[in-house]
Amino acid sequence: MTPPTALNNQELQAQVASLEIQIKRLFQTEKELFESKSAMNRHLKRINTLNEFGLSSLTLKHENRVLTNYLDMLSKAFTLTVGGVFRIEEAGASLTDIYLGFQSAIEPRTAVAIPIDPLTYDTCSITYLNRPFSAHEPLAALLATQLEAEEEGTDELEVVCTIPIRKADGTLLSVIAFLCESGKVIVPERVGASTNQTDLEFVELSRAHCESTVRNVIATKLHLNLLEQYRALNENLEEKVAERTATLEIRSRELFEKSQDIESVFDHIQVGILVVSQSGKIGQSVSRHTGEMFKDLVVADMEIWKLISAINPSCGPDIIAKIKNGLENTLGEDSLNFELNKHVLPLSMVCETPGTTRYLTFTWDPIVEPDTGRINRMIVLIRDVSTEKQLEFEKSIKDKKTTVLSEILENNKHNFDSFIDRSIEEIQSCLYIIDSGESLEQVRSLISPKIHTIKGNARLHGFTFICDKCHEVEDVLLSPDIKLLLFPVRSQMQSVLNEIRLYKQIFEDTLRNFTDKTLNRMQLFAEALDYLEEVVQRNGSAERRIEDVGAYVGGLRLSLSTEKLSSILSTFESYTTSMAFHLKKHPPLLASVGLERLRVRTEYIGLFKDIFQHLYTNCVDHGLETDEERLLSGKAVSGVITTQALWSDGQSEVTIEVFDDGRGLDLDKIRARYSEAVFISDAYLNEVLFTQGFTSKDQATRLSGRGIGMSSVKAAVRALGGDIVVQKIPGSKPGRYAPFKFVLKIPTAVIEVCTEQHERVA
Amino acid sequence: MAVLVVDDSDSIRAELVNILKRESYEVFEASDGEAGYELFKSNDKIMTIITDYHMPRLNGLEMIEKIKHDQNPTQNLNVFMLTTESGEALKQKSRELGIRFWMVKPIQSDALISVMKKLQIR
Repeated sequence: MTPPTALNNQELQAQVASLEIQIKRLFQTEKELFESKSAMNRHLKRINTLNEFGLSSLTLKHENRVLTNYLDMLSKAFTLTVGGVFRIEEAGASLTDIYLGFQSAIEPRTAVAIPIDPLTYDTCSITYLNRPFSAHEPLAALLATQLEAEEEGTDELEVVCTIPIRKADGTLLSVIAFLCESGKVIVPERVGASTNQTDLEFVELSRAHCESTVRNVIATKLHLNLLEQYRALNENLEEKVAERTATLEIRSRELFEKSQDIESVFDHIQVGILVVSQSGKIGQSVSRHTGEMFKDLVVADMEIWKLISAINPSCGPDIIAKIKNGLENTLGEDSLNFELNKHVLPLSMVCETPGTTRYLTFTWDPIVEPDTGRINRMIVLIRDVSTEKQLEFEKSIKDKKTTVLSEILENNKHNFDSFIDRSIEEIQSCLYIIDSGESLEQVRSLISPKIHTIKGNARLHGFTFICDKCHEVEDVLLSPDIKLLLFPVRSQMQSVLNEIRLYKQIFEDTLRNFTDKTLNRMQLFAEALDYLEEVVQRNGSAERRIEDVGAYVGGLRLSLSTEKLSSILSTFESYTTSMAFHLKKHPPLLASVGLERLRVRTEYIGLFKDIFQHLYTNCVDHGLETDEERLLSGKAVSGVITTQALWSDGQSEVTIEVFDDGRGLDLDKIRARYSEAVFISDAYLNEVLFTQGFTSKDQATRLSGRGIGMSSVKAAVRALGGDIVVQKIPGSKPGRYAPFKFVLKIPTAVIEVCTEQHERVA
Repeated sequence: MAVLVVDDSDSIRAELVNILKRESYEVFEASDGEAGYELFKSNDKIMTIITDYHMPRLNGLEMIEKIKHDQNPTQNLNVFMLTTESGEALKQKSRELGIRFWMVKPIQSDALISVMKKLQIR
């Protein structure tokens, strides 16, 4: 076997060299060894005695250094253990056996190795004879002696022990002989090529031979041991390196895959993932989504409370300090501290920045170090749930609408209308009371019964949302904290009003048309039947009756395809009332002149309503003065908005004028903004008023005044095939303000003028 | 088990005493650190202290320091410190005194009771 590397060879040579030195020393002490024979004898006897007592091991006392050193050497060579049950592994015999050999040598006997298998001599047994034995004694005689001794029971041939020896060269025997100074070792030697047993001769081994054999054995054995060790080492090394490399490769591949997985999770997950260190700072690895969520911020290395403060400016310093404190109480501390402080960590948050509102949710997950039980980091997950929130909100609105609808449907139309109108009236009167400056107690005693009645009625009709809102007002009214009374009561009242208006709105949007139309048609149908019956039974000429029926059918058709202009405009009453209320003005009166025979074709009703809503808004907001101004100028506190129709039969269009009794257009303002001219013509006014962007108000109110109204009205009227202009009302005195009217020309294709006969039927 | 509650705010103390009594703890209360220290000294069954930091006479930390100075080191004492702010210096000092639990005001009573029960099991 060759050592794997040159280095190993060199080392090996060095080892062998040192070994040789040791062996030299060994043989220098040989003499001393033999001199201490008697000491050895004592030992051997003791061992023997111990063996007889069945003890398998003993520890040599180091009385004789030479002997023990020597045995040490020997045991190393044969991988033996001194002081135990010695085994010569290669020979398959125990050293105890060899000690027996020692013993026999001490009482001089002769050891003879007798081949067990006479053909190969590879295995011999060592036999001790009680008598001197000549190397030239033929084997047959020896065997005869042995048999004889067994039969006669004589002592002559004592088989002390049998040591199987694989090698016939007598290596072990040499060792034994070397140990047994006075003993002889006789080994079988083959003579000639014959395999016949009788041709065997026994040779006595010389002492020098024994010595050199032992030396060789020891040296070879040591050498082999060393090589063996190196080989084992090298083999192991390679194996181990390979093994380790393999595990490292697997591990690194796993790690790579894992880190790739994590990376792709971090890249694609639609959740902000942050890891907060003990100092509260956000670590470097954050999910990509985090960056997308907080575009303007460098999140890494930022303290988490600073991030929260940055993304939600409405979080005041007090809230941020609490979050910071809570995290400081938790990070780096016993895990139970999380439980004690987590209530200050936000779970959801509404972040309002100009233009956007975001709903964020937070999940806080402490990472507890298993050894210490301390929280060493915190994982924070941030989700943007704005879309879900929006959907939820929309759904809740829809749900509410459905509930309200079903509540309305439980009632009949008349009851519903009267409840709504009465309640709105009551609440508006409550609001007037609140604003009247009466004492708190007075206000309370005046409005409590009103609210209680509305609540009772709402409950009676099953309008739960209104009922709940009324209940909230009562709670505030009954609250002992009188300081808080007026402001919240007003806003609570307002929300009851909004609730009632919502019911009304939902009814208007979805049910009004439906129920009105159905009712109307049912009625028309019933009337038509009555009429036909009446005509049939009537006396008179057939021509006359046919004429009547023809007229009747014309009127009927008209009433089915058109709606009365007056009834369309009357729906604006509640609108102008609530608007005036918002503007803190007395509700105006809506007056109409000459509308009786005008009917609007159903397909234009929507557009018509839009136009009039704009016009009335304009009148209430801009036209009519405040209550105080009206009273100061000697007018009635309620303004009047007049809608007047001018038409004559056969004309292709109808003129409708809309005007209020307010002070009129502020010409100074118009001059200041548009023209320096002293006289402002109607044509110029029209140009200015219907231009996009016009407003005579300094400040846009919530209801109007953004300058988009009149131009779109003009567009709508033109879409009907008509036109709209403003005209100063002639005859008013010149001054800063010029009273004016809107003049609409609407084709009769849109507004039909029905005959009196038709009108009667319709 | 006996608990000492030390806080100069009457309302916070009352709330704490209330919830602890409801959980059938024996409760001692004091409104400043000095009084708390005296109470602790005269009642050796007190094993848990819940204390505010800012208090007249002795603050929470000084009180614990005094108690630890007297205390048999083998005695196991759980201290909950109520905080409104915290700083590393305060934390360091507290840690030296073996204080392991902090709570941001307002206190979450459910959490406190749950943690106290867990500590008893520990």
